Amino acid sequence: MSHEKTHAKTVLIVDDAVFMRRMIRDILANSGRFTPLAEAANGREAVAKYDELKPDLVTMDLIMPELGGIAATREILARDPGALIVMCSTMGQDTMVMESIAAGARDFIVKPFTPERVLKVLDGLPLTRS
Amino acid sequence: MDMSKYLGLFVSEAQEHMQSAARELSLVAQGIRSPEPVNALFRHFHSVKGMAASMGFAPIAELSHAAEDVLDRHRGTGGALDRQTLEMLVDVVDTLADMIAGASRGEARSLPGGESLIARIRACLEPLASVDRRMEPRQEIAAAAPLREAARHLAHDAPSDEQRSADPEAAPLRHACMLTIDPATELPGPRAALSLKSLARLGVIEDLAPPMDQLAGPAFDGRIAFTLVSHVTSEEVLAALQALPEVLNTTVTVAAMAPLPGAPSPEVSADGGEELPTTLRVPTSSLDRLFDGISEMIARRGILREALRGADRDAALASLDRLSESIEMMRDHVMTLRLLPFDQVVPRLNRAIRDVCRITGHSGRLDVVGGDVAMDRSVLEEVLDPLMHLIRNAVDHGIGSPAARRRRGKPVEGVIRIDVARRSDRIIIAVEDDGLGMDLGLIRRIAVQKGYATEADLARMSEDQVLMMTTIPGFSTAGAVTAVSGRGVGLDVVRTRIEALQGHMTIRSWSGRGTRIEMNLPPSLAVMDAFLVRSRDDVLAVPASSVAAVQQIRPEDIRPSHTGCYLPVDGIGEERSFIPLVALNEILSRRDGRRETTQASLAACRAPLSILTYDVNGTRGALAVDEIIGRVELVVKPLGAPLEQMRAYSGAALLNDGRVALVLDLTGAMELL
Repeated sequence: MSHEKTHAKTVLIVDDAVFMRRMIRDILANSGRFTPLAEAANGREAVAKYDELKPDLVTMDLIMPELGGIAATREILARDPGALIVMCSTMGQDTMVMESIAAGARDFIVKPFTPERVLKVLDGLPLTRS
Repeated sequence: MDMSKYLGLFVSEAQEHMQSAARELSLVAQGIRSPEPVNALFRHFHSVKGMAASMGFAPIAELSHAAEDVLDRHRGTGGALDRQTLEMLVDVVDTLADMIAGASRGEARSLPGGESLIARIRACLEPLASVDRRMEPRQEIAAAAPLREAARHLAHDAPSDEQRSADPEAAPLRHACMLTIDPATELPGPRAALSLKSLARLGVIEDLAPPMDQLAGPAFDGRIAFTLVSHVTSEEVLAALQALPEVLNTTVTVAAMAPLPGAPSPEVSADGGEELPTTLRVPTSSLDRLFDGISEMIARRGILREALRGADRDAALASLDRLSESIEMMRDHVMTLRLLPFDQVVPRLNRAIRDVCRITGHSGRLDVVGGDVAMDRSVLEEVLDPLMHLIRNAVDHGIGSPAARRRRGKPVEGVIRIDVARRSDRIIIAVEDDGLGMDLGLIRRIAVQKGYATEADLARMSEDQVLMMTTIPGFSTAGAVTAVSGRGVGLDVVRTRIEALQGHMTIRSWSGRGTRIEMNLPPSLAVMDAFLVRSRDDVLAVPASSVAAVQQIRPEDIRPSHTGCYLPVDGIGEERSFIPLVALNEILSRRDGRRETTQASLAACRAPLSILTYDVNGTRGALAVDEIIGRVELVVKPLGAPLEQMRAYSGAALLNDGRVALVLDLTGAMELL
């Protein structure tokens, strides 16, 4: 049996709550296949960090000061149409999540989330960027 | 997942949010008028809700959620919160702070006080739900617009490899598909949207039921049906459906062959058609309120009748006042029903941008701020054409080509931003692009070349005035005439349309940064703010938007000359400029076939004269009248054929005393002379 070493995917975590970013970071770090690369506290930082670090994936909160998740998603995709962005929403934000999907987000996770749920969604993203 | 290790972080961050919330509340309490504190408060409660839910602290999450709902209601009001709401939110912040402290001590999850506060909040939100009639249709419409956009994106996604490799010569198949979103999923609407997006790689999605804008709503039961037009086989479609996460019960049937390529294919129209809807959906509470209003009017009319019979004049006048109040309230109710949010036209604008981008090869997107600002449907209808014009201009000439943008270090995708706002009682719509700005030097050169202005004139003009020269008919700075614009038919048309709406236009531009064109419009075209003036026995109306000032002048101030009468304005001594003064009597005398000059009309006057100074299309002047009766709001009706051919008048209005007042069109009237 051949053991192929696939490198862990790097992730940019975007959320204005330190608490949420810590939770997601821990989930990713414990998975063994995702590496938390960097964090951003608002949409503007997210766009800047994405440009600078080019992570494999992004988890994006919807509601943040400065620049919200939908606008940041648009800006990142405008610069990099192949970006893989997963929205983090709470219950009742159906319309905003759908707007994000229309803007190009690939999937979404809903708070409060479990490690299983988060990893299932991230695992489901395409291995190669289209 | 063991959440206890996050407790410390949760507590410190949640406490910070509550402290910030308290600060924002004090800003609002001080009467600071800005939407920011309300937006910030919303975010604070939203964050605490999310964190508390993650920690499993349901009572904290519920109370935060209730507060979030309250603030969501108030987000459109520009930062104002009434006393009661403010006090309630202060209670919420205090209670939440206590609950968070309790959580840090590891106390029982439920804290007394939380439930009753939540009940109090819900009780407050309830009447808001029925009174706030503006929220219901507008929210529905506001949510629908971006979702209809989403439908367009989904329906027209780029064909994937699978689709392209299938035999392109054969006609595509129409697969009738149905699927059910797993009820256990957290957000069924977005899950359905993602499923559709994934399938759109295979072909074009049509006939989506329920439509996209209903997927986010509470009525969505998880079942969707649609037609996938694609070259791939049914087996492949079924396999794709079954591979979708959180999707159950998939079926695929092939209906009929799709029309052959070359035949006109039906438009996948997902934006609701060309016109603004001619029917309205209104909450039944609005109709109830109208009915109540009418009943009240009838009752007060009865009281008035009685008072008149009784010959008590004071009582009769008082009843008449009460009746007038009812009538005005009814009018306001009906006017509110006519309000449409700007969002209504956004899909059309997006489509225009995409079309022009395709033709020009430029890349641009639309950002709308203030899409929820509502205006009378008459204004929205009329402003659509000028707006489309400005947007096409912005894509074609404003944002610049991707190459030009890259050279300037700008992102390839240009941004066209529309700002909609209400300022006092006007509606301001601005179209701004982030391109290279207008070339002032070029504009000046063309102006001199075409003879619109001399060097000396240009030296005296402000930048704004130079920019406004681009609205002169025939003025075009485009190097070549393009399919989209550049024939010199552009800004002049926009300006004329806007001024015909009793609005005005300003242009600002920053070299290398972009251009902003602002339209200042009345809130309604059905009702006009006007000055009533008298000339002999005639009463006429002059639109207030044309009037710069109302003054009394002394007859000695008038300067007669062989070309007419003039009035000095601005400056002193050598710097004075003069504007022409015309008596309304002279204008109307033309109508009667006489010729009574302004000089003759004013010669006999000793007393101070009432004049209106106006500024229309950059032309300034003064109109002398026998009397300025007052300033009123009039319901103006168009004159209709054949009277509309009279250039001097732009409409007619019924006055309170039953007389008809013609609305003076100053430009047209001056042409008569």
